[in-house]
Amino acid sequence: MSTAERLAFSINEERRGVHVLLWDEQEDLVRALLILLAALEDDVVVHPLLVSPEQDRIHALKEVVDTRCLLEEEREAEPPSPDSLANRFWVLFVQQASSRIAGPWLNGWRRPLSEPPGTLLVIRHADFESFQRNAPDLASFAGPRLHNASTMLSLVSKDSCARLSASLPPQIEEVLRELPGTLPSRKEIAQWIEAVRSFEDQTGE
Amino acid sequence: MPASLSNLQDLRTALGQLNAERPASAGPREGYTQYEPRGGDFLRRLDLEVSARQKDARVLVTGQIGVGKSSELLRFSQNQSRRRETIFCDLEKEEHPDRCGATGVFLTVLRDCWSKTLHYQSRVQRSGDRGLSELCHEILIPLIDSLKGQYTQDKRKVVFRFGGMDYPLLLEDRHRALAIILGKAAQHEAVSQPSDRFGLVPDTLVHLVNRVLRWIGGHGAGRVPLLIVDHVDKIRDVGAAEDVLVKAAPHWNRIEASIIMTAPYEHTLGDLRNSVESRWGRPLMLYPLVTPDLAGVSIPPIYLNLGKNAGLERLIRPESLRILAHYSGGILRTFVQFLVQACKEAHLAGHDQIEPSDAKDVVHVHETAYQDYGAANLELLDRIADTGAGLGEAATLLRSPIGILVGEPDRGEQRLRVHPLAQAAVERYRLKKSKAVGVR
Repeated sequence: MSTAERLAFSINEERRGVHVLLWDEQEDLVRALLILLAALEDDVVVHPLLVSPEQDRIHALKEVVDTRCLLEEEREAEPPSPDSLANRFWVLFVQQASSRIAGPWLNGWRRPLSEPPGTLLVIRHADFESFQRNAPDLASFAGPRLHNASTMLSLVSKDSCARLSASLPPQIEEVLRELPGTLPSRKEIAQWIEAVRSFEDQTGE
Repeated sequence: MPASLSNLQDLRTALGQLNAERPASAGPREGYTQYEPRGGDFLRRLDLEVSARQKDARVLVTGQIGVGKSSELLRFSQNQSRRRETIFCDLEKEEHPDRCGATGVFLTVLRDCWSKTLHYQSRVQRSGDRGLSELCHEILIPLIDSLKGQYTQDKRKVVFRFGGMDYPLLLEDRHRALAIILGKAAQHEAVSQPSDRFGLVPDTLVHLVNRVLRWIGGHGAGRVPLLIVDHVDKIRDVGAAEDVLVKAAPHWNRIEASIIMTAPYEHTLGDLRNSVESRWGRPLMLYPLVTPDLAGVSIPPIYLNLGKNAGLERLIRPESLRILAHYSGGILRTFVQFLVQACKEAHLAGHDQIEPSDAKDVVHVHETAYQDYGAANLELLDRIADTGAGLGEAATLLRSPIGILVGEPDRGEQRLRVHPLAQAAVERYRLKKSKAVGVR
């Protein structure tokens, strides 16, 4: 039984490693992300980024990856501050059909991606096989830390329910607009949150 | 109170002793899985290869992803420390293996050889030996020139341009400065466009590596240097693999130390096989572990001990351990990942121990997640299930976490089997195929 809260539990407790979130419809993905963000501990600071083959995107990603590739001597001289990019939880949205180019690139950086506090790779389900073939070593790091937004149950604990936000952070929305599909409207999200809350009120789950 | 996985603190203790992404550590260490001997003769054979050819052994080590190569090599390196001066070079440490090229790999080797000399620094300083400082100077100055470093007026600082950014470096502590320059240069080589790379060539680097190796050899109390170059097997691009394993072979041969290097498994099988073997000899394979039968009685001790080392001895039922070990296919990374997942599963289910239902849930998630095989892959898996052979054709399946398993050879021939997690998909494929034949 997969839920976004379980994914959040893994991220909160493991504090390292590569997690994968698969998706088919943006609606499911947005719901999963809303619950995930509500269930993450306060000190897990999310840093979203779009991974696609364009040079400027790769450059931006490289800058982020670099923060976890400091030489021992550099780290000793100036340890990364708690709010440095290195200490944020990276959420990398892999653009559709870009695995052939982005996959090998990410594969070579599996070590920094898996360093604490870890990384979540958000991949379209249809692309996942290609992603595995193009990033086999990274996929082996993810292993069973794999979740599918389409088959996740919308079960939310009382605490997370209370923390559910009516919208995703603008940086994540910006990335989602670049992905295939349409973002659900604010009204649709509000209705869904209302339904989740009323279910939670009824069941006390 | 006895430990229970339903208790968050006990769960955290167990998770802190299991890490599938790092090579196993020699003893208990937070954030690492503790090494457990896997049995078999891999380490003995490796020792034999190196011992037989004192300073010029050239050994490639290969095996499936996650099978345990890095852990075994690290263990080998630790075992050898009394007899050999082992230098463990990690290509994945700060750079991208696929894009390093031969220059990047030799820079990494030089970086890690230089780091090794730092172990001797205090002894050398006490004895007043100037040899290391002279060597440092000999390497540092031409390297600064090659990397186009610009000295400040007082010569106390040098500024490099790495990745379009200025990188200033103080030269007061020259040993440290050299370590940093080598690290940054190796990183730069792995990420820059060919046009932005510096003019360093493997020839120069091999010369410098040999200078450092000679110094280490002279100070290692008779211990001969041995280079272990790990994560070369992460070079997935065929051209990059050819550069490092085939085209750079003459450079590797000039290195004045024995070399053990990991090699990408798929490139020791396909088109490159003959070229690689003619230069390096046949690679030494690390095979998956024997897995317990689901209906059997005994469980190979390594699985029991890995659980025990993580404090799970009383927190996992033998039946659950058997399920996880069986479906791991004998791939150690998968087994450790399964243990981690099963611990979390048990906690969330409010179980004190990992129950068989928790183990089955973990296996089921993994099975459904990775079985998006196309018809051609299923056909291949079906054939492998029948014949136990055909690795050349099925090399691409080695990239799937649950495709095939390559076992110990039988009468000289590699034995293949379908991963236990892919078995169900193959059964379904066979059923569909037989139905289709029936319809016709």
